[in-house]
Amino acid sequence: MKEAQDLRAGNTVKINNELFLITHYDYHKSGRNDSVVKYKLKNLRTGAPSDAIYRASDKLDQIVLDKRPMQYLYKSNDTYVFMDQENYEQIEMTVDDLGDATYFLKEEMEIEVQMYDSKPVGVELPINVELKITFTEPGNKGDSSGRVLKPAKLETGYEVQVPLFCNEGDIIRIDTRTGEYAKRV
Amino acid sequence: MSAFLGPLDIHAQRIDNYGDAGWSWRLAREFAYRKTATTVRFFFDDLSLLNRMELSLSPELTHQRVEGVEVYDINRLTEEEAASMERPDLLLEIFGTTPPERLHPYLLLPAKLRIQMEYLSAEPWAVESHLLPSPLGWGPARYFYFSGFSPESGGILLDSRLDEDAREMKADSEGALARFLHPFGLTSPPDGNPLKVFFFPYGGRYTGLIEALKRYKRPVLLFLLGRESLLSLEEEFGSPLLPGEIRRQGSLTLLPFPFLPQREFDRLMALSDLLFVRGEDSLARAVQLGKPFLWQAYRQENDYQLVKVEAFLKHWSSLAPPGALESFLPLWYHYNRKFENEGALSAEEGDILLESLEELSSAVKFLSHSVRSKADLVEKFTQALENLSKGVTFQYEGSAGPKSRKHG
Repeated sequence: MKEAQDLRAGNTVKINNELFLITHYDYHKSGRNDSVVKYKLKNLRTGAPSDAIYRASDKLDQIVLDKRPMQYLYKSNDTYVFMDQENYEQIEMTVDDLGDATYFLKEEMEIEVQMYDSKPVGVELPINVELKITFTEPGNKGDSSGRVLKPAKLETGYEVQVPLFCNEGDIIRIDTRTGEYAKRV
Repeated sequence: MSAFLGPLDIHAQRIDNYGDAGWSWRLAREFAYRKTATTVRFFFDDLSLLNRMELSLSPELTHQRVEGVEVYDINRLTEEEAASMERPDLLLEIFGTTPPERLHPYLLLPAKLRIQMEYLSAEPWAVESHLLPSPLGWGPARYFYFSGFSPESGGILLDSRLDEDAREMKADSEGALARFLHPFGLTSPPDGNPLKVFFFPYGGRYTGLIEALKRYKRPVLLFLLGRESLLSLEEEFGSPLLPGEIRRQGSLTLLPFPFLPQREFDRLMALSDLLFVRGEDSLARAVQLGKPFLWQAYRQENDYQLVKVEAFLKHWSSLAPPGALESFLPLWYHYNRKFENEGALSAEEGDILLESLEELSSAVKFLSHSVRSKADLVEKFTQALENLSKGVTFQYEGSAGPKSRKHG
């Protein structure tokens, strides 16, 4: 069993004998009590999407699916293409399969693809990914505290809040569990 | 009138101050008062605390009936006693409270629905999360309920007793004021036609506000509620302010009140012309009363309270005439950003507030009208239950007598 706050997009949970892939994760401060987390879920049997909400400390039954090492090759329209690193076969996944993971996929990235009934259903991201800033307003060189943030667009199209001292072209590390800026590389 | 609910179990607990407990008790009272449930059982973990707010409630009893609510001391309730009680159908768990595990077989597992009641917030994510399912894979079906200000939210708790008291006090405001002044040795206000200010902040320093109140065109009665209000003003007055001890500076009269039970606290709010409120419960009362107010949100890490304040003001601004709140917005943000060590309000901000009471009052009316007509929590809760309970067979539905009524 795992606390709801420790699960992330790409994890799978078992609820009432059905398996659900978490495709999106949000953490919210609630008030004086326990925070809450919101998930977008995909039923792995029916493919049906649904929303669910939990206390951060609720315990859920995490299921570890079979994983295969693959390399992310490219995106074609709404399809993401991966190559199995053992047999070199190519597989395709959609935005619905990948959920939030699409924010962090970079070509040639090596990644674990989760399999269910021999079909790819999701990916497990590394905890950190390094991505290039493609656009942000010019920073303030004097500010090195990192406390003041500004928006930045990354090479994958993902937008994240970064400290003022970050600039276009900088490589930054993102914590994929929270989707937040971790450090400038 | 809302649909019939059947029996309702409410589980609540002491969290930090009195606000959460007071709100939970108010909710239980209101469900019983509106008769939207056949029985309301209220399980709480600190009856001594509740007794300070509701004097007729004994801190010594495991079970008692007060204001139509069956009140249980959850810590004293034994497994044997719980086993002999009627099984619950619907659990309303306030701010994350859950029955202790030893009582799950009797007070949780037999239920058909569990509703997790969350704090009042106007944040978009809270509104979007209202009534989302929370499947755990065990026990009753669970959903989250987010109270809020908009029709899409779970609504705010409106207290019928407060409405009745407010009407009574309006009919005889002089008599009502005299009753509150009596413990201070006064039969009437020291100066005629005073502005009555209800002061219940979390903290901060108020040198600027005191300045503004002293130079206001009318004499001012400042009702101080809560220990923090006394501490906030201590420095301005040179010595500790003690409950019951009147202080005067020019036409400003300070009346530090001792701890007031919930009903008296509410009545004093209803009697006042300007309210300084804090947290969620007194904010909801201010909105219900439709009186001009300034809200101090519960302080959170990284000034997160500003997000809540912003969401609230955005919603309020969408209801009031364009620009009606514009002059107050900087003041509200400033007040919520700096309430610990620095001046919570400058004298100029105090002047703006006092000079614009009429405008603020009229803007509050839009908000108050909106929640009363479209966001009454008890109404919305019963409507929500209609939807959530589709396909669920409650135990009371099969039994005889008044409990045999079914959902619409």
